[in-house]
Amino acid sequence: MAPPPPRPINLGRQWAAVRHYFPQATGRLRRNLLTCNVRLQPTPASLTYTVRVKLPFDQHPDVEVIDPELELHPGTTQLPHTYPGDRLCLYYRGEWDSGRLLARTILPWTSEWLLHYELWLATGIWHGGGITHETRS
Amino acid sequence: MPDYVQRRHGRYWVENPAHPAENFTDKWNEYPDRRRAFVDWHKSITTTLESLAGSHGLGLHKIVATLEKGFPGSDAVRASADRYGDQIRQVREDARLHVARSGSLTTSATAANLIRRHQFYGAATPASD
Repeated sequence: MAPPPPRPINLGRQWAAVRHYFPQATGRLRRNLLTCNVRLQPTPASLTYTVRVKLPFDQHPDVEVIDPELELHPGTTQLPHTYPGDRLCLYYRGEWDSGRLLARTILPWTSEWLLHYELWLATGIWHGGGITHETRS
Repeated sequence: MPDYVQRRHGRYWVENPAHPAENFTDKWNEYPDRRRAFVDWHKSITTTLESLAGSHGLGLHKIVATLEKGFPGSDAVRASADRYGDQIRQVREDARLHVARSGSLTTSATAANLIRRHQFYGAATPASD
């Protein structure tokens, strides 16, 4: 018998957790959509990025870097581990559901993505591991 | 560093502190090209280090680029960047990577929270040039 589906965390609690773990976050909660901007600096040598996370209630989050504009390694045409529109692909199916806190999953994973992005810019090699799919629609 | 180079009786002299009679730069007096090579290297490394000091907060890619410029023809900088990326992935896979409130990644659990296991998904890693 399959386990029961996870109970979704309400967006007010999601937002409170984001502010607790990342006090510099700004955002708003309107109806069934949480939008927050979080500044992340993965290492002291790294740039500080502003990341926007949009989370509709009981759905998957949409994560994009809004500042600075992301660059490509010379000779490449797309960023690694992104969806169309340069939305970050941070987890594989089953690794996230609406019963998990953004602050403990998506935001740390985003900082990790940014560190590997900077190394990829330098070397052209993605060292963060992960699973890739063949095509990009 | 150039301040340690003395002139004694018209000759370049850098004293060996363990053997004061020994001159580390005795060959500079016979082969001026060697002294010029040192001066050029010193200017270059000084520029590199000053540039590095100013790269704080500009991105790991800027640090790598600055070091590669300072050590042309060497694969060591690129190899170090590769190794660093692999190490970060490994500590995360070992559930030892934490994140602080600034988003800073660390292996220290002090004032930081453990990063839960996950795998990046999405488009295939683009080919490098």
